[in-house]
Amino acid sequence: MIEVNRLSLRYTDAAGPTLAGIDLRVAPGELVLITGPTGCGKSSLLNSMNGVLQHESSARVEGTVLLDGRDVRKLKLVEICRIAGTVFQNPDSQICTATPETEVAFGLENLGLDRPTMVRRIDEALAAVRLDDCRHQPASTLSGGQKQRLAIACALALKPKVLFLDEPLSQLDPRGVEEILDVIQELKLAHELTVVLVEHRIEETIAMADRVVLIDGGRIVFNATRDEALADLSPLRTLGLSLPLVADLFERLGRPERPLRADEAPLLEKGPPLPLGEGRGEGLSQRQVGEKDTVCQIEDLTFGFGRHGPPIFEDLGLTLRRGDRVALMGPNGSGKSTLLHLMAGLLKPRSGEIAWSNAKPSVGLVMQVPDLMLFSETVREEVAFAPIHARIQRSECRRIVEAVLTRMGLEDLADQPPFALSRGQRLRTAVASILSKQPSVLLLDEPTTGQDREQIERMMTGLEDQFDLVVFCTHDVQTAARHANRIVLVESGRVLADGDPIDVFFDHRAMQAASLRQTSLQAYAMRHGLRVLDVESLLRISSR
Amino acid sequence: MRLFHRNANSPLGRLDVRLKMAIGFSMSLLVVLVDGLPMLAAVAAIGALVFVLGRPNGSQVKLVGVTLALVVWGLMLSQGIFYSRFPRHALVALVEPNRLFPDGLKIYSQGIHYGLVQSLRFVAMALVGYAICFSTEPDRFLRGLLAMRVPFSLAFMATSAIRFLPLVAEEFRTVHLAMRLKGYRPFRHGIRDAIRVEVASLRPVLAGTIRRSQEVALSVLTRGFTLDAGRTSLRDERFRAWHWAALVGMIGLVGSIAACKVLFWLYQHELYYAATLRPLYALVREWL
Repeated sequence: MIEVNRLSLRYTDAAGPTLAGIDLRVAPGELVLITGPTGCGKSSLLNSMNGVLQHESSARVEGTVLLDGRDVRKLKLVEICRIAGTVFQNPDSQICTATPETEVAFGLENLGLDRPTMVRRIDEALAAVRLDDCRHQPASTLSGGQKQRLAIACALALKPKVLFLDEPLSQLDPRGVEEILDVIQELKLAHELTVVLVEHRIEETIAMADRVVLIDGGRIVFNATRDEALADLSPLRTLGLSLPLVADLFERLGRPERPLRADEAPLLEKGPPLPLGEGRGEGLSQRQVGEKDTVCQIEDLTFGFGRHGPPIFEDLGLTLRRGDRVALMGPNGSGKSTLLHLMAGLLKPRSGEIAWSNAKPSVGLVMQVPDLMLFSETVREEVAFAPIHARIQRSECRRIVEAVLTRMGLEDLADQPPFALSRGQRLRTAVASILSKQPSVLLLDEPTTGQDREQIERMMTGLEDQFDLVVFCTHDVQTAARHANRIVLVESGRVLADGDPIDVFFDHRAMQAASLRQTSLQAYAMRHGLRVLDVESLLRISSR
Repeated sequence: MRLFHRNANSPLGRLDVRLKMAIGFSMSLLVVLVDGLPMLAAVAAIGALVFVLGRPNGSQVKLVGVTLALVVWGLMLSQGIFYSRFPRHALVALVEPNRLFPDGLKIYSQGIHYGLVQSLRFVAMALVGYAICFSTEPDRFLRGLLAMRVPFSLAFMATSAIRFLPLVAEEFRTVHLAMRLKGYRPFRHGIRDAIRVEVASLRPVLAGTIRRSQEVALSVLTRGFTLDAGRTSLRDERFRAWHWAALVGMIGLVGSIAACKVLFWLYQHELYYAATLRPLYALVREWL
């Protein structure tokens, strides 16, 4: 269905090629998972396969891409979209009309179809992604998962043979991820679509893949069936990518099986019973026990946007103590970011209070879109912004800036413009620009979005020891398990659960209410009657 | 954001987009044709009525109110001070004559009157413009433009720009929040720093806009967006009989006023005079 021959790509002004000599075959009906570290060229490969870069970019593209036997260079884009549909990462910027109905109609109108055909295809496409109930709803009111399903419906309506999906899960909460994965699975089976999926989230997606392709530095470094990829996870591990957890466990145990789901994995020999809390993730938790004086007391907090807007929180109470590393989790719209903004003093509560032990606490907040925190001409100026505006002496300011640049690994990029950096580097610059304010409390709003596992680990590990209190919002159970010693689940402005990661992640009712799912490893541990958060802990237990 | 909410179900929102544009166009002609203060006030009142028919929300009323109040105040004050025609009568002397201001600095009543006339023109036009924006969904705006035979690519670009305005405004707000988080307070470090930082705040917004436009472009290109003809439409704007009647009425009204003004101009310049038109000349002199 897709044949890529000696494909090379070089963007104008780029130092080197983004893709170099890519050869790839995708059979009809196959689902290929393309993964690799951030900036390795995955999305560029996808946009070469759908012909966009060949037709609409000044990038130099060499080699050929055949879609259904036809060279994409010789096809017009309007012809390509009848063969292949594409869904992109950001659900918001793909939607260009007001309602799901008009959005699906957009592509059909471009093809010049008559009205009855359009109506029929819109019905079919919306039904296929289970959005037929909200066809006239304003698109802006759809959830992230619904918007991505709408984007899939738009592609489907054009009756393509191939569906290209460019990180469709990266901006979704667990509920949205589940919705999209269900839809992709159904489409593959019911519509016999060939699917090319570019994604970081291997744990969630590898089960549905027929083939796994790894890209690094613009080259394919691994291309094999899923079973072959699972047989040896070292290529994924070497690139610092997230691994399917249960399969990783079995490989590290030296077992031949590579189960992906907890319920299909054979049980291990059971060790002695574990005391409560055994198997906690490596990292912060053990180190912080003991220091427990209150840093922040949230009492009877009520907040809503506008004078008469519906309340997001009502009488919320939370006590945050020194040494707490809190992961604030819950579905999109549950009030996580709002709470961080209230704590940072960017919003004022309607009633109740947020009392800090220190009269003038130094609170640093890294916002959800780090790019909007970067406005200076160089990384160094960006990091120096806060100390300069705090009127710190020039020599002291210089010392702080250099120290923060070193700590965040940005010394070599100090004179680069922030927008010229990669996504991970931009996030690190945004964090550095807050660290130079020398806060004692650090708030991070979705710091893991769009980052690969290695980058997440590097950044979160670097932030563990330096603050009285760290609070971060995330949907990523794995990151929360590794880097938090306290989990607060919120839903509709209420605290559903608050406690040790082990207690919260194994509280099924609370997890379900917060639209969260245990990782496959946690579910597998449960089958053994164990409460374990990560592979290392389970390995330790099994080695006894 | 409530400011960018569009009340498509308001009486104005339900009108065909072409009729709304005709209202806007008629208003723009009227404010140029009419000179008399009472008549301009009446035109501004019509503008206010159109604005109310768009059922704006509190945030929108606040925005329009503040903007227009500032414009009216600014125009009247500046015209009052710098009015240079004669005759003119000083109401207040702000600065007595001195070396710098040999004639002093005064506020003239004729200047205030002139400023009021100019600002009423602006107010009438702005109210209708705001009302159209607040009551028209970008989709319907697109359909209206297409129905007026505007090329699809142009119409699509225009409506996409409108659609993403709330996002751009939200990003601008977020950048300023980020600046506050980093300790920036306007003017605390002097005006030069404030100007430098405010200009810099445009950088991420601009970068975000470029990135988003690339994403939108990719999304529409992969859905067959083309400049070629042959595009069809799921829905069309419907121009009803009473829309036609309203349109003809507006054309008649504006055309009549224009004709009256032309006849009066011919009479004033002694190019054409008819005794039977004397009541009309009186009407124009008195009211228009």
